Amino acid sequence: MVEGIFTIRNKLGLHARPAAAFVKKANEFNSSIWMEKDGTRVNAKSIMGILMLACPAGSQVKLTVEGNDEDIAIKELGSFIESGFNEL
Amino acid sequence: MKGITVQSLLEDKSYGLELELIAGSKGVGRKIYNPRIQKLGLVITGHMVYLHPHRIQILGNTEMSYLKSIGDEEGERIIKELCKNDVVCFIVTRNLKVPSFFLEEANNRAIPFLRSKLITSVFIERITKLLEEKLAPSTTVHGVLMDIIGVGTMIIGKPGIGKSESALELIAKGHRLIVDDVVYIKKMGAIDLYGESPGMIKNLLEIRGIGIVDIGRLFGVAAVRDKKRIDLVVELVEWHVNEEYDRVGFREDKYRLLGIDLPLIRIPVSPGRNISTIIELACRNFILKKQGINTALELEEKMLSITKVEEKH
Repeated sequence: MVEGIFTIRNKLGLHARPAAAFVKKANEFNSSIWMEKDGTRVNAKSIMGILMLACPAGSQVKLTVEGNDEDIAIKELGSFIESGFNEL
Repeated sequence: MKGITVQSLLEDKSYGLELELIAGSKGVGRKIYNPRIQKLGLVITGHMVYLHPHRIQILGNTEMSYLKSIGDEEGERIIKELCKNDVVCFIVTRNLKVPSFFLEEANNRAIPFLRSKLITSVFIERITKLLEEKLAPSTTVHGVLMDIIGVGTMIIGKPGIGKSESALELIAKGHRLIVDDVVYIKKMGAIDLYGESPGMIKNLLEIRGIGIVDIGRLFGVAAVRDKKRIDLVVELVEWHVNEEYDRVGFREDKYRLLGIDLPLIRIPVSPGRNISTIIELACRNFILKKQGINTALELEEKMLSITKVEEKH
């Protein structure tokens, strides 16, 4: 299991479009992936969970990844978040 | 850990506490973490051994009349001693008058002092309800919660296995959606788990290929529900040829959540199996079992009675 804390950097935060892109990316991995914000943890492979977190710009989220491709998954998903979901 | 501020007690409208602040306004930001209250009782005589300062302290007729009877000097001594314990909050009921030395001490130590018009028994009942509701242990589970013929059913399983699709079919059959994807669960009292939706995704369902849809608007008010007690957990699993699934109905698996065991039924998913109908069937069978009718056991008894007779011959 690997964990990492990442910052939402794009201006509009983690809204519907980047959430969809993120979930799509998360589903490319076999590992179980969880996203946590302020103590609420959701399955990062489901868009409803991610949307529920309603992360504004500047907020921090924790990713927890567990599975055979966890290292590559957290690296790619983490940098996707830090890159502002390619919206910067 | 969850907590509520004293301020939020003051602002409350839905539990009818009818509270006003009479002293210690500096302390209204204090947080209450303990869902239990304490009636001050013997503590007011100076017996502090069983004082629980982290619980809301309630004073009624008994305490206030005792305080009056012992005179101001002795009263002040006890109150000073009591307030040293950093009590989270005092509440006096029946709109009783509080001696000025008590209010002063509360002010000095920034302990909020509240007053209610209600009689003590009614007040305790209401505030206990509020505290239980607000401070209940809670968690979130990745799944769908539905009300299926009155049975609160939580459907869980890996992403993509078809939880939301099954939910849609169940909604089309007239069952009700509580929440898709993120079930917010609270433990109420000792044995009940209640599930509800986080505000952001209320009434919404995500169907791959269509997107996010509003079930409340599409199917009407009767297709959704705010809150439901969870009775049953259904796990959708991938069908594996080598795995043995329950063929008779003897297995009684459990799903443990916040210290409570819920009955768990595993349904293998494969092409050609109508999952929503099977889930509905599981709920009907759940009701039957609750009424004391267990088809698997009945069949077993029937079989045994016949095989035993044959043994005798």
